[in-house]
Amino acid sequence: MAENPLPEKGLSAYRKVRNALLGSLTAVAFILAVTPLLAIVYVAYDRGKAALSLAFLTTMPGGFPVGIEGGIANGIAGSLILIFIASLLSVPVGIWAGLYLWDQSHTRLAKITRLLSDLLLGVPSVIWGVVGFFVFSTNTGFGFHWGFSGLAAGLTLGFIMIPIVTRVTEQALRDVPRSYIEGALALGASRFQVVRGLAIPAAITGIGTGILLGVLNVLGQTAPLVFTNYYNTGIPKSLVGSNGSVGDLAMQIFIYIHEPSKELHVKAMAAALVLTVIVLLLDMGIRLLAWGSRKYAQRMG
Amino acid sequence: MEPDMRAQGETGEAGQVLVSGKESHFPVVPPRILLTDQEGTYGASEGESLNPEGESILKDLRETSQVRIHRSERLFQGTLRIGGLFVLALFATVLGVSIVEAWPSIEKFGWSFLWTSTWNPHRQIFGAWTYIVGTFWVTGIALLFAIPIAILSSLFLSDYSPKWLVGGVSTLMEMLAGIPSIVFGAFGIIFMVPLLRDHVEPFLSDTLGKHWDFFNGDSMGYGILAAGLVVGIMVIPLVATVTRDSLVMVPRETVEAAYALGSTKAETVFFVKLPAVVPGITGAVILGFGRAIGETMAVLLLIGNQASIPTSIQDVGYTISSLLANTFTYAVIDPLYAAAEIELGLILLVISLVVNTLGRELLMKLMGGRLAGSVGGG
Repeated sequence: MAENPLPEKGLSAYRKVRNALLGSLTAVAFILAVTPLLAIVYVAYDRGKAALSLAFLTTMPGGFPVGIEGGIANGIAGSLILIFIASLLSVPVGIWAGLYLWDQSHTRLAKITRLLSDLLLGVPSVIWGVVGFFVFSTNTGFGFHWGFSGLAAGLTLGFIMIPIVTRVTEQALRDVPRSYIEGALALGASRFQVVRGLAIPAAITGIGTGILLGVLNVLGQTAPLVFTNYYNTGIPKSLVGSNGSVGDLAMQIFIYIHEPSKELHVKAMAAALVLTVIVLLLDMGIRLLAWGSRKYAQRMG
Repeated sequence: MEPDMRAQGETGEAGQVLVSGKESHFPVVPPRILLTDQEGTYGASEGESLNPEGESILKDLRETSQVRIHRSERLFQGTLRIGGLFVLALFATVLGVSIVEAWPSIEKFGWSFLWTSTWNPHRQIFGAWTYIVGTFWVTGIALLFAIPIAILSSLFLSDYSPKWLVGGVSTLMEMLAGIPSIVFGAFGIIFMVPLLRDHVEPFLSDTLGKHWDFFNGDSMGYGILAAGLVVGIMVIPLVATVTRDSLVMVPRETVEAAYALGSTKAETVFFVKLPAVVPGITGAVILGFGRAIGETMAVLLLIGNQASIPTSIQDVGYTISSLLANTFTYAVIDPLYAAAEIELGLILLVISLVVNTLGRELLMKLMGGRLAGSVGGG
């Protein structure tokens, strides 16, 4: 931005004061915007550090009320299971739909699909919970009747991920130079060969980013789990049925913070710090990946 | 899927022509016949596919190439279309489940569900008003808190801050925006509630509360103020990021013209740049609204969960999303109770769909496709 090119002498006092005031107002607002966000990380560390240790990550909760002893191994394991199931559903479907939106982007059906997929991005997570409950968990009416279970919750999280993966995949494919695709088609390659041999390899970093972005978005989701999974203090043997619930980091924080116990609040904050650190690391990974592929694209011209 | 088997067959045939002792490298068969469907697999018999002389080779080529992409390509395109149908089916499921499961309540209460404030499972009377009001209270407080801060801080980042700060800080802000809702909620309980209870709310009662009952109340910490502030903190990065993205697109000429006319820096930024990005800010605010209204876990932990209409900023309340997350698993036993709760969810869904469509259209025009989207709530 250009530095103030005006001779300050010529300004009236009112304009000088206004200039300084409005300028410092933005600085104050900036501090107000960043401080609470940093405070969250700091408070989580400060209140949770008493419970933090390597054993906290690797032991199962115990004692009474449950969690007062031990750590959050059930939550970490459960979160991993849920993300695995969610990815299993959403990665193929999301990439598939993204390919469709890219390949036939001009058609009316694709335009509608794109709009609805964007709208799905904005569906509140409670609604996903209700939908997941009626599709997977409920034991009356239509649906899979899986009860509160890891499979139900994982697939519900997969629903949330699908539109994210779809849109990011489409965007990544769009970033592949048009000339590559047309060149391959002109050489007589079939659409399938172009997609498999050219478009997907060229866009693979972008698609990977999309998947990680989806994982990032569902990692801390709690509301859908209230409807489809709830919580488990152990690791279940089966992912379906009445004993199929898995533990989950976010649910663990929710349950611990609800208990009227100082020790559990400390554990909750420690778990919150762990979750936050995982989320931030994942976010950083995504940014590095995107940055790296941008650099690569620049070098390739 | 196979490459194009017939293309190979044709080259083979052409090769036969070549090895059969002819001098010319061109096959003796006229090219048109080579290009046409020789096997007659696709409906055209040998005789029909031989066009009479004089027709344009271009038209010929087009016809033959259409025949050629016929099966494998169409099949592949059809296969891709199924992927798109998955997304359509998912949307239909979301809307369908909400409407079908809410139907008993829609049928029984009709439109009056919206403005009835009774919520009595024992007498089977349900109305949404309390929760709609609560939801808008929290969203309103959140946006009132977030919008000025977000817009001003994006102005700071775009025009005032030293260059070395910009990249790092805006990245940091976006990263911190990804912190899950439940962590914000836990932060609220551990830090925000005691702060409000011991300092902010007594202060409000002593100063503004002396004149307006609106700021009075018994300082509990929990309530719409705590929930609104924490949701506001969550919304700030989203609004700030989208605003900054549109600030970047203000033409340099406009800014330079303002300076050339003798404006101070603040005048340029506030009276020239800011009005130029009003559409972008509107889009940002709409997206922020969509994010705030669906916020669940943080609100559930902080709002106090009491089904009353707040009259003061220190009151407790209830929002649609926190009611659903809190009581839905008990409500499913009673069909009408469950249906009423899902109808509340449907109201929330419709609001956020409308809001997101508006925000999307607005920002699509501005930014051409790349939508700053995020899943609401958590």
